[in-house]
Amino acid sequence: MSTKKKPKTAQPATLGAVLEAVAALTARDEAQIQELVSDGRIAELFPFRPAAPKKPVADFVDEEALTEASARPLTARQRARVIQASMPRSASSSATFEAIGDEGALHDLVKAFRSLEKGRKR
Amino acid sequence: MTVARRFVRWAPCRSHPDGRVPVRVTDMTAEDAWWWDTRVQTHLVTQASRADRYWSWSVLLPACHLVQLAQRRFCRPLVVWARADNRRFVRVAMALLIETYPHLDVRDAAPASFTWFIAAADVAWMRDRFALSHRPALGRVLIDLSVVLSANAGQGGRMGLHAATRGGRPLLSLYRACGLTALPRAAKLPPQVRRRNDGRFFYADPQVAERLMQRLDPDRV
Repeated sequence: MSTKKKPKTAQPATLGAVLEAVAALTARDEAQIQELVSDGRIAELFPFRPAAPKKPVADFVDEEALTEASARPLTARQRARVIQASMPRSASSSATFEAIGDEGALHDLVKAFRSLEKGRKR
Repeated sequence: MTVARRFVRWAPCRSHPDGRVPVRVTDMTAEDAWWWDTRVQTHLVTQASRADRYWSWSVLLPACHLVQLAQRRFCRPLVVWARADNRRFVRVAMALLIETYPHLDVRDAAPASFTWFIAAADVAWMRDRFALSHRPALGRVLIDLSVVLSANAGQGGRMGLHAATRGGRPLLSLYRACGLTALPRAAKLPPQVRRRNDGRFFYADPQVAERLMQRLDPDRV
C-alpha cells in the first residue's frame, strides 16, 4: 500500500525555504534519500523544480557538438561550471526556479548554490 | 605514475552479440535532465518494476548538488549518449555520482566514489521512439563511470552503491553480474551511512575495480 504523503504546501523558492529543504534532506543519508526518491516522495522534502528551458531541447546531437566529460577530478572552476549548468538557462535569472504549484523567487537558488560553494573547502 | 583512464567510448550491442555501439559521456545539464523527464521518464513511469519509475531528474540534479555541497562533497552528474541510426547521438543513460564518499567496506577505511542514481533508458522504447536499432548494454558502462573517477582521483577505484529496494531481486542480480561485490548484510556500514544494512549495498575494492576497468579498456579509444 502506498504511504505517499501529501507534498508540502507550495511555497516560494526563497533562499530560506531552499536551505530548509536541503537541511531536511541532509538529515538523511544517500541511501535513505534514494528510497525517498524511488517512492516518489522527494517533493515532501524538496518541493521545488526548475522552470522548463526557454528553447526546445533537441533529441539528437551531432558528435562534434558533444563535449566529452573529463574522467579526471575537476578543478574548482570546472566544478562551478558543472553546478551552474544544473540551473536552466534563462533570459532572466529570476525565471530559473519555481516552487511546485507556485511562482516563487528564483535567483535565490543560485545564491544558495553560490553561498554553499563558497563555504566549501577543497 | 598511473595513467588516467578515459570514460568508455564503445558499449556492447545488445542486438548484435559481436557488435559495439559508439557512446559518449558528457556532463549533465539542466537541459539534459528536462529532456530525460519529458522524453524518457514519461514512459518509465508506466513500468512498475523499474526502480527509477518516479525519479525526476530535473529535481534530482539541483537537489543532489545542494545536498552534497552542504556536506562539503561534490556531486558529479553525467549523461551517456549513444549513436542512433541517423548517426547522431541521443541520450541513453543518466548518472549522479558522489566524489570522495566513505568506502562501504569499513575494513578498508579510505575514500571512494558513490554511485547514487543511475538509470538507462528502456531499450525497446529507444528503438521505437528514437531509431536506436543498435542498442548499447549499459550496466557495466554506468558502473565504470564511478570506478574510473575513483581511480583517477587516487582512490584506487573504490566505489559503492545501494540497490534501490524497488528494484527487487533483479537489480541485485544485475549488480552481481556487473562484477560488484555484495556487502554482507551483517557487515557494519560507515558511520556516515545512517540507515541499517539491508543487504542491498555493493562495492568494488581496488582489485575488483582494476579487473572491471581492464575489461573495458579496449572500449576507451
